[in-house]
Amino acid sequence: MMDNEFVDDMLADFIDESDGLLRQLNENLLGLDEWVKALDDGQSAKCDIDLLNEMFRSAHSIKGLSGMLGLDDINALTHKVENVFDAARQDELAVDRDVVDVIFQAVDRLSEMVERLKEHDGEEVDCQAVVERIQQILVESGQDREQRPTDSVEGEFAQLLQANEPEEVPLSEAGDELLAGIQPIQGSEDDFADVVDEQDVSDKYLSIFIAETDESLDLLSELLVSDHTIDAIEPLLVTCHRIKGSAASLGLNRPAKLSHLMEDVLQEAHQQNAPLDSHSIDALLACTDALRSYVEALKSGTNEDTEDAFQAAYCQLKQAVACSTPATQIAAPDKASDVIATTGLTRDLRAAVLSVAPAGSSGFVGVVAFREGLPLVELKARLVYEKLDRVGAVFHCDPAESEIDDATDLIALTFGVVTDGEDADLRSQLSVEGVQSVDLSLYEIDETAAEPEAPNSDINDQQPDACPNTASTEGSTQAQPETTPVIEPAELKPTKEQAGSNGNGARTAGKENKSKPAETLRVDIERLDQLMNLAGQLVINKARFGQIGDGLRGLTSFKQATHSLGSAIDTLGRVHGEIGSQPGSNRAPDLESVRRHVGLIRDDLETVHRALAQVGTVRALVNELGEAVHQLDRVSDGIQKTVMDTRMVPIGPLFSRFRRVVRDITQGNGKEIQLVIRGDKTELDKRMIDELGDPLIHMIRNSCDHGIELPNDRVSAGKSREGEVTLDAFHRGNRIVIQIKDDGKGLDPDKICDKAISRGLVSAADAEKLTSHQIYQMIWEPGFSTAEQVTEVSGRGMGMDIVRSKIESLNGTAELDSEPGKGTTFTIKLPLTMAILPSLLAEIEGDTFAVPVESVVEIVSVERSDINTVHGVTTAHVRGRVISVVDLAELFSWNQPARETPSLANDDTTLVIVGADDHEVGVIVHRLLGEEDIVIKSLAENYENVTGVAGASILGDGRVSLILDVASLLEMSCYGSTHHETPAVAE
Amino acid sequence: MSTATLETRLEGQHSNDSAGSLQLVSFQLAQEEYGIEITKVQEIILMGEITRVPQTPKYIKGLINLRSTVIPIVDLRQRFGLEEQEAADESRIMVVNVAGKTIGIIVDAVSEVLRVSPDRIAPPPPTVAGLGREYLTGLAKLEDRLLILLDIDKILVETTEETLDAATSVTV
Repeated sequence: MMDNEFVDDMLADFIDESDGLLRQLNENLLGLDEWVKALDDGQSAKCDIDLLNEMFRSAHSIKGLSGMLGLDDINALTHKVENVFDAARQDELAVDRDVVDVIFQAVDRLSEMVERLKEHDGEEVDCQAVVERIQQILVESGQDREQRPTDSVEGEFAQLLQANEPEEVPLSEAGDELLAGIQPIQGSEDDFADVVDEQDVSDKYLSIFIAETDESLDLLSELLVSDHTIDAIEPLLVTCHRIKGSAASLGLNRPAKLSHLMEDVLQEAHQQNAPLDSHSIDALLACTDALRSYVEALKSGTNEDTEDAFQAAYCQLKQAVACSTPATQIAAPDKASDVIATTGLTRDLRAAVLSVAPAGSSGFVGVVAFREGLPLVELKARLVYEKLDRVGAVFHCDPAESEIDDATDLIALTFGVVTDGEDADLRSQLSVEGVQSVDLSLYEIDETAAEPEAPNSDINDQQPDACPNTASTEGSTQAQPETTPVIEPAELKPTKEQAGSNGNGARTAGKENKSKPAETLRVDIERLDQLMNLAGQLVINKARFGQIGDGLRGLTSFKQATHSLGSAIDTLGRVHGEIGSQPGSNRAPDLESVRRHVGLIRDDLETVHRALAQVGTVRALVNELGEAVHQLDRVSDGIQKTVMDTRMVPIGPLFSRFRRVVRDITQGNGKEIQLVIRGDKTELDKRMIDELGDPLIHMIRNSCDHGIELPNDRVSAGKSREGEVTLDAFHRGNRIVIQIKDDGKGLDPDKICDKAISRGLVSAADAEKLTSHQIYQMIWEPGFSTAEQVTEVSGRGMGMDIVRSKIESLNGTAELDSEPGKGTTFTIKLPLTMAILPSLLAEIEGDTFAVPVESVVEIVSVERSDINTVHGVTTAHVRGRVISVVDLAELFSWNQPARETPSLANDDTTLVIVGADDHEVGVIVHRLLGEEDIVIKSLAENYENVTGVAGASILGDGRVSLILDVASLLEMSCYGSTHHETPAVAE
Repeated sequence: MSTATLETRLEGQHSNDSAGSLQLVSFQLAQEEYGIEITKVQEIILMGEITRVPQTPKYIKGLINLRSTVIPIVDLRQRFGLEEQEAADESRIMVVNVAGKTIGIIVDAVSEVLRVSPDRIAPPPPTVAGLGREYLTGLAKLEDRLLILLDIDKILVETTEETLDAATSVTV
């Protein structure tokens, strides 16, 4: 039925959306959990009805979407969940711990199911147990929603609308049936006046809604215009439902209602297995347009009232349901008509009919509906037409008079006729056998009324026989292509219009101060990765251009050369002239040839001189190049920054995921732990956030499981019963720091030491020399786990070594600090950007190193005498301070020869002082090459990470340079260089 | 852009059209001739400037820029414990793909691409040129010479493992 691409697309959207909804559900559940806890403690807190509502909405959205996609298992489960929330919010079900637990389980199952969708080949998720438990809960509270005939939301709509019961005049059996199908949303002309959007929708959700709905509307229009087969109905249904779902979940009740009706119409067609007729399509398109202008209004933040467009589209749709007429005209609706229609379709169509009515005339506009399947309906229609013709001048007829004879499946006939007869007379005239109903509306047009569209003056003569004017009819259909058979209410009530517009006014005032939400666009992250890569290469090329420009500039300083050349030409000219001035008889033949040669040389030089002068213009070009490079610089900086920004997302959602993790752990191990989240607004690269989930979970589990003690132990240690795990994220310099801190028992250095020795990670003799900080770092080693008992929670999954390698693969560092009895802190430092780093390029022993600019404290030049070596430690005096000095030739262990040995001839040594936290060291460099943005290439990509090196980068000239890892450099200089280190025994 | 100029690209040549026969790239190292499955070889490039890297074993010569990718270079002579030799005109870097990584290996010279039928391949002798049997997959008997078939995955994967050890020994 549906093509696969479409389904895949929908599925991707569904996964995306349900991920968000499930996360929200989870968060809200945690809130509910808190509340239940408070309840257990005897505090009677008022259950937050908004919370329940929100959860209900989330569940409902998932239910709807999954139902549309035929994901029956998800649908069934969410339906149950929804029922629970519904019962709860209506105070029919007491929310207690049990209920929350079951819902938690249900949400877990749902997450698993969604996860399975992503994987395609995951295992079947068994949710039967949960479904049964929910059922049990519902039965216990006597609230088995299964019994309710209508879904609750639909029920609400019905309630909303019943208050406004319309005075509908049934037109036909067919119409009746169809109308019965959509009874809940039937309403009078002013339906929408009573449906009000919620006002306090957050901009964030609004922008998501806008983006989604934009997409859906595009799809709708495309489907409606291009595909009129039965196959199109299903995708249309899904799309409408999606709009409805997302609108309803935000409390945008008006678009929800409209899309609901659209859905009903489509559903009807779906059930009858019949393609949409042209009127339905037109009407649906009008609805689409109305929704679009609604979304546009949201987007711009203006209050352009879409009320009327909604109303118009709504009525048109209703009529399309009532009167399915043959597909004689498939015309895209004129968007402007939505704006013209100010008081609804009735007036709209009436106006359309009346626009061709003769000025100064009075008469009736009406619809004659025929019984469905009436044989020879075209003859009946012809009969009706003849009768009308006799009564007065027919100025409008749909279908047109010439087409009536071909309209074999006609259902209704719309007409406008000039007459001064009575309503009753006309009705009796029109009561032909087979006519289902007759609907009439009186009209009167002033002589003075402007009649811009009256196309034909002969209509004005009001002669009975001058009327059947097909030309004017066609004219009207062109002007109002969406003209459909009119179902006119028996009489128009101007007061209703009044009320409607008053309602509009109130709403408008309410929405006035709404700010404009940001427009969003969903992009495949692969594309962003690619863009990022390209931006990186642009940065490299930019550097290259800079170098070329500099090189050229050096070449163009030939002023001196031009000058000397000029004087040489002068000299030669003089010599030439002097020789020539001697009397010819005295000239020796040799001298003559010298003169000739001098002349030639002078000519040549002049040519060169001229050429050189032209090269002067090159100079100007080089200057221009310089400017262009400068411009390129700015643009590439901008691109780089924008690409970065595009990829940044707040870490908040990731952090709040862990609330659940902590809750589960505390349920399992009897500890009382509070998770404190700070810095959730801190933004990180999306890829990093994706990658950080697993390592963070592991560390949090560690803190909860091994760090925090049991409540009684805590009390006896003089701490509060409740342990605290703090998650924090913040910027420091050019890095992002994420900390996981607990106030538990801390790490025991001795225990770690014993373990490390027993695992052969370090020899007993070496272990003695290690500081406790060094000991702590051993837990990052592969095969290390301090837990005496491997618990279910943190014993499985990855080890700390994998945590670290994961973080290092993001060019980050992971550290750990602990104080026995006080707690443990994991610190993860990540680069702000994944790829580009402003650095200082320096040459050390012929190798080019990049030093991240953010870690450079200062650059100083010290005299050799200021550098002293005491006890193997080299220090320098810099303006009264003593700074330890490292020579990379010694600190690092090199196995390859240096390219060149630096000459130590000069007495001054340049030190680049680098620092992190409160440590500082001076690195001896032999030449400074300048500052440049470099692109980080991970060494781990094709190799392994190397201590002291944060990565590599490609310089403008294509060479590879190493990036100094200042943090590990500091560590190495503090704890001794590699030479003094006892290598650990591997294996 | 790069000092390492592309000489030959062998990508896409690894077809298995003649049934069962093995397509190999043969190269010289010291006085021996070795063979690697052609499917492992991405390309062969000229020697260029190599950036040395600290805290790595001696056989890691350093890094090069291969079309905007940084790849490590392994000196196969030193990996096999042979004496070091200055790069000569014939020296080449073979870029191989093993275990998802791209690594360059320095060889004395690249000889040819050839096809060997499986029945000409004998199991490897216990040691060849100081290499343990575990690094060899077999011995191909050609008409006039022998070709030592290398398990390049094993050689290079262990290389990276050893460097990992070298790196971690520093941090502890």
